[in-house]
Amino acid sequence: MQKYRDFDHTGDLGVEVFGDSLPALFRHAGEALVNIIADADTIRIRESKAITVQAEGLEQLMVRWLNELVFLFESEGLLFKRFDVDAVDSDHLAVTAHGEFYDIDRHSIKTTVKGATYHRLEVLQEEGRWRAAIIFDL
Amino acid sequence: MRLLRSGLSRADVQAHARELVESLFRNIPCGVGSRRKDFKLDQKELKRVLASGVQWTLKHGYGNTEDRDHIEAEGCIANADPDRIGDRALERGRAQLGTLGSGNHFVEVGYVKEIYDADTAAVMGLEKDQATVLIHTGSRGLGHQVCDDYLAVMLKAARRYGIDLPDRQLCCAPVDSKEGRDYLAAMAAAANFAFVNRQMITHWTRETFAQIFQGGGDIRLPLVYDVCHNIAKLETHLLEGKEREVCVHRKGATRAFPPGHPETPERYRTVGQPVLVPGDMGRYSFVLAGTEAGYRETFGSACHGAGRKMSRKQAKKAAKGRAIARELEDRGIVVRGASIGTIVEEMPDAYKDVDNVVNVLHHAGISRKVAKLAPLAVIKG
Repeated sequence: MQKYRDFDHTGDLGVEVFGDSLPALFRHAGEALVNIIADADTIRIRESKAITVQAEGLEQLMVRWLNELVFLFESEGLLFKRFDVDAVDSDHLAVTAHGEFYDIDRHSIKTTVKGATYHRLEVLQEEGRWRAAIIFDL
Repeated sequence: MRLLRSGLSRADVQAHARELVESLFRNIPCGVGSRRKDFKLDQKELKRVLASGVQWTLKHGYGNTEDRDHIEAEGCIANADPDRIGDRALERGRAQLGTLGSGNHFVEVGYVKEIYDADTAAVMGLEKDQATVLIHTGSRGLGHQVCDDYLAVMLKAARRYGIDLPDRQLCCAPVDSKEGRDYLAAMAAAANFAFVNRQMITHWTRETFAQIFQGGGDIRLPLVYDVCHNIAKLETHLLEGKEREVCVHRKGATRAFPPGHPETPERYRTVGQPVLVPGDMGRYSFVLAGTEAGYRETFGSACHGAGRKMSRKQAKKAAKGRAIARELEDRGIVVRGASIGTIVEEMPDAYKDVDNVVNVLHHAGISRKVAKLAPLAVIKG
């Protein structure tokens, strides 16, 4: 199954994410974001970080999850390659993220992302498959 | 967005274009994680920046009173309250103050290619062939975080005030509500951050020019004007014959105040506020002047740029097999970007022709064309 694909948005960047379960959806969304920022193939696994997000509803949870990753990249220089979703429901997400610190010699930055937005945001289940559409502010 | 002018000519800059680009790229933090070792603020100092805007740069020797007098709101929006800004936003701000940012942010050294209104251009200190610098950057991650933090507040507020939202990103609260006042105070602080960010980059641009053009030519780079592109301002306008205080939200728009307005700098009071409309890095940008008609019809506002006509995905597709930086160089424009994707995503073809956009402004009478600027050396984050 395709994990994610980008869609056209004139000013910023839209991504459609898929998952056969809610944990998979949030994993793939994280991977999609990291792949916007840098080439995931160049990221090694050297660090792990526990990340917890609280929200009111899946849509806010998705935005806060992705913005947490943006914040961790900006503030600590962390780039993640793999995510293990320990728990997720409509108000809460617990993830162990694996990756490494940004290395200017090995990681080329493709695009810097300011954050995920609520613009035309969708997180829903269709015929047993989860789908999210997120527009990122660049 | 701001425009600097100089006593140098197109030829002066062209002779040093590559050197300028490399030096600007070195002196102005552009890429992820790039910081100047000589510019680090703690949270307490950052809050002073947020509270006092450009006044902070004057105190610390990064700007002068002439700069301040040629910035919208003199580089400090009143009622800014750094305590309305959350810790996460402060942390992003501390890391990014004095950095250019990527996307459509840039520093562009260019020249005045054409003059449409010689008298107004003279008042603005612009003349044909003169070297100029355009700087486009804003509140960076701090501004975005302020937006994100207040979205959560506004989503709740919109429900409480019974406001129906066609899109959740449009969540809002009445201006006079607590949420509204808190947000405006945080936004003002973020705007002050942006003014200071542009002033810091101006300072390092001036240092760069001084290094390269030592002893030759006027390299003071005076500020023509500095405007916001995304802001809400409390202003007084005439509505149905009465003067009323209103909240003017300019999103992707710039203020364009007319001749005679007290907020138009004294130097420009006879001609109107300079209006800066950047195009793209391959063609041109424009300087216009605010008009009375614009003040009446658009709350004194103009567009802020050309606007994209291709998404980033479409731009990448269109750029396949092409070397955009080389194409620009063949046209006499040297460009350097910190991230690989940016030059492609920001390529000239991705933007509308700003000439068409500006002509609409001009013919509608809401701003008057004054000068056309063309690029020579561009750096992008």
